[in-house]
Amino acid sequence: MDKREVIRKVVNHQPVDEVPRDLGGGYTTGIQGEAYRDLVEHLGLDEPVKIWERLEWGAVPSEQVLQWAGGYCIDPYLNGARQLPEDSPEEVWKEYTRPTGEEYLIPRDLMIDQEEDGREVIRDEEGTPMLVRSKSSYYFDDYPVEYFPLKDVADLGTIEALPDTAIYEPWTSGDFARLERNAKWFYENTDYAITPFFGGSLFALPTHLRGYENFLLDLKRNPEYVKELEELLVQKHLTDLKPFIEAVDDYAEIIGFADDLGQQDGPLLSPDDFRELIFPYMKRVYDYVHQHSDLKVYLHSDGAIQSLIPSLIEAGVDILNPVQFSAKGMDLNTLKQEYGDELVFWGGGVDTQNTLPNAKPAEVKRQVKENIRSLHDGSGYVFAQVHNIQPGVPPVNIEAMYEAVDEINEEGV
Amino acid sequence: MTMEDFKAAIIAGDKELASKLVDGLLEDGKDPQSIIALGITPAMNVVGERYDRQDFFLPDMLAAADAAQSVLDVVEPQLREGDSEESISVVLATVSGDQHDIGKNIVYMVFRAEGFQVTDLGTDVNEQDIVEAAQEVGADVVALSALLTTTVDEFAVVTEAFEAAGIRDDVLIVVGGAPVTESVATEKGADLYGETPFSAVRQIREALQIA
Repeated sequence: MDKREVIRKVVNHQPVDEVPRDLGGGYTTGIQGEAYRDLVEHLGLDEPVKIWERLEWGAVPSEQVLQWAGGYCIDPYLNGARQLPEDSPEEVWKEYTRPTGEEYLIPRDLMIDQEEDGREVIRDEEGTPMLVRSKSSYYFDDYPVEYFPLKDVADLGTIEALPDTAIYEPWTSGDFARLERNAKWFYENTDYAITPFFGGSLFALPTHLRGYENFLLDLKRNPEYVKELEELLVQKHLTDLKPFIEAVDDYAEIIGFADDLGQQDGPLLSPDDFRELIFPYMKRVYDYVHQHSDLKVYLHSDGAIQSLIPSLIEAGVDILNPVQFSAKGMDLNTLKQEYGDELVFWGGGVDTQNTLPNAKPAEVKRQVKENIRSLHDGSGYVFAQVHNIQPGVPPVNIEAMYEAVDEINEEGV
Repeated sequence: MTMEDFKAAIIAGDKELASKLVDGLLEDGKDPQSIIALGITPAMNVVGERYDRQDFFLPDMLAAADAAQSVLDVVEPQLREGDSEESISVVLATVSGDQHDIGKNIVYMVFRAEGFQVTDLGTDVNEQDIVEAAQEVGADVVALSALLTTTVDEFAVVTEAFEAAGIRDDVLIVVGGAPVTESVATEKGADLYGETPFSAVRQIREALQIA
């Protein structure tokens, strides 16, 4: 059975005799640039570190690394950074050296200014700083002088009046023709499952537009405003979704969405507020996918979201990532037992906050095997660590993680 | 109009009502000290209990803290000299290399609503600036936040800087953030682990023996 067929069966809850795995096929199943550099050095490979995702500085695993990791999935677009053999590297990449001296290839159109104090700043088209990274950090984050385009906007007006929300969406004013070209190429020339990422946020995005605290207060004090904003965002997402689905539907298995709804000890908002103010809008977007394609809806949502899962299923979520089992109430056996008939779990393979960076390889292996046994019952599970592999993770632990999956597959699952 | 109504308004996060009620309480001659001790602090205790029980979520907690802070802004300037003797002074920062401010800002709101005097140093703050700020304000507590697995090590850097400055025993160091656990806190030399802002408040009060 080829890789694509295994994933197709898994997302349809049909039995498979192996646990498939994903490295970098999803937006948050990848590896951060510095962790990637350590890994390729450890593997004795001589290759540049290519960064496709600016916020978390996510690396593009090369074909060699993907083969080594045994990945089953590929995102055909990567925010425009996915290169096909026919593309010249100069069309896609440019060299970039951080103030700390590390060298990368980054997307040609990614503009990063370096300040005198070693900070790196990404600005919007008008030159306003949006994102900043300090010299000692690995990640970009919101610029401290808050860049919240709707912070003081009381009257939302029409969708045309909305600022360019694309800054926080991996799917920016995307090139649908290129998306389709790439998806078709991988479909015809590889056996990877095609797993494009769309974004489509309806909770995290408004927190970036309004400011985090402001939007959380809006939920309590100004629900009508929240509904108006959600309505505009649904319109925006549906406008993009139509050509996106047309581009990938013949080739892809899933469509990726992301919306962080949880923190470590519980959801970020009450299940009642979620139900009233976010759920109806999510459902419209996911319904659109189901009505217009055979793609499965993959949702990335961090944290302790157990109490929201029934609503997410009702909204049309088919696949849940990253299954952050260290968060409160996210016990893997319980999740599988209660929701395994309806949900495919994609992730949850090993903890990236403590185990992967700090544990010995033997403990990594033990946890991987235990978690796979909890989440795979003959189907319904794609292995990936919880979220991206972070900088500082010893390559031997990444090796141990994949060895454990190999061993489980050899022993028979 | 009673203190109970006032407490209920804070708990409900109704800033306008709480502000109106606090004006009434002051006009009726209630002293600022008892408005804090019998109104604002107990109200925030209820919010903390509900949050820990998951009857309340972040938006509820933020709305309540915002309401409490707005009435504190009215009441505090009216405190007599000596009334605020027990007020706890906190220096708050997200550690070096970490730009995340959401968790820290929530801690700020809750600490302020609890009547702590908080000096917020912002994000990506190095250990020397934290030590200097603590010395300058005579901090009782240094509260540190980190969201990244790569920046929790900074807790140890800050703790050591306080050692080096010879004032480690003068401050309680409390740490929190998504990747932080009790054992991480201990390992990095912190005194307390604040799993939630309210658990930090309780432990700080207990450690400083202030009810």
